[in-house]
Amino acid sequence: MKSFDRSEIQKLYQYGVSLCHDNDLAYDLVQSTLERCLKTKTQVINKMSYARTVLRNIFIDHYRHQTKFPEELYDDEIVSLDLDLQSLEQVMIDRDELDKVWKLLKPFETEILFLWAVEGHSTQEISEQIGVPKGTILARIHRLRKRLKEVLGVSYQGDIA
Amino acid sequence: MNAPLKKSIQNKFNTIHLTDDKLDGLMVLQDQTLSHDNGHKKGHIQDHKTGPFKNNIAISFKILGLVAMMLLTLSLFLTKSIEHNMPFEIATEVTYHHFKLKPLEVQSSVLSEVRNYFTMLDFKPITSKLLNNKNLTLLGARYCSLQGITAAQIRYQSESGEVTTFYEVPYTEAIYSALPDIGKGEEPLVSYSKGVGVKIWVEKGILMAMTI
Repeated sequence: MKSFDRSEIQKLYQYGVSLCHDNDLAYDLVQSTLERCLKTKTQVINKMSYARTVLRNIFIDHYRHQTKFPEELYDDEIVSLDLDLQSLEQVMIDRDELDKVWKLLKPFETEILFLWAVEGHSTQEISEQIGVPKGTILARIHRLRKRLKEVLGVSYQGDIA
Repeated sequence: MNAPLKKSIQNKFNTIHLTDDKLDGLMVLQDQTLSHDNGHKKGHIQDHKTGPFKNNIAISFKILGLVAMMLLTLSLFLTKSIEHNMPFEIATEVTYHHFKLKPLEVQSSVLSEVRNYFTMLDFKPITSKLLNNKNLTLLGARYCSLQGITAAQIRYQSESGEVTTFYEVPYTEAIYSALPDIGKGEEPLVSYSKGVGVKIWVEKGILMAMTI
């Protein structure tokens, strides 16, 4: 695999931050990711998608090992709610509130927000990227909206299904 | 100021960047990882070449062995040739000095005086029994060498006025090859060089050579 340019590394770093909420740990994740990617013998079609998957797996391994990773995120409830990321478009929030909320969100919740807002992924693309069924993604979005409402309280302006 | 969640998240991440130092470090890390990986690949390529290369080494050693054997055979042949030609070599050297007639360092008709002159020799010049029956007059002597070994060159003159050059040098078979020892009843050999015959023999451990 060819090496990553500076812009791609920055993107991976931001993704790492969205997962672990820690700049130093994100840097470590990126470093490990680059090493693994460059050593891979796998024929990779989408380099960045592959790298994000590698970074995510390293992150999961790290947190499994540290037993810090919230296990409930693996026990995704399949909800049959008609939810989509479009529903998040209606949420209005200022920067201070976002920082406050961000700290309270769980790693895979912020990951979804990052992939949606920064990377511009659709629900299907997020599902493919993180390797979980689309229904699971929708369930997470549902929980995410509930949590946003809890944190933001009266200032939450989005609809809750 | 409120903004759509998506926009707020984008703004948030726009401020999240690796510093140039850390980014530079990761770029270097990539280069090192790739170069290390390439090194391994080259190593694999070399491994693939190892087989044939080993064969080449084996063939090279066989060739070297063959060449060494040929050289050994040749050296033995040359040694034998030299051994066979050693009398001729001696004869040639004796003849050369015989024609040169370099000035004598000691002039005396008395052998004891001549013998006393040679204080730098590793042997004592003696009178050969082969000269007993010849009416030769001692003229003198000088230091010389035979095949690199310091020798005594003694000059005689016959009744007819012909000069005879006589050599004495410690005999070593390794240097001068096997030569007839008259003490064992062997006859001297005669080798010719430049039209001059040189009689060669060993007597009492001394190689003697004399023009005839």
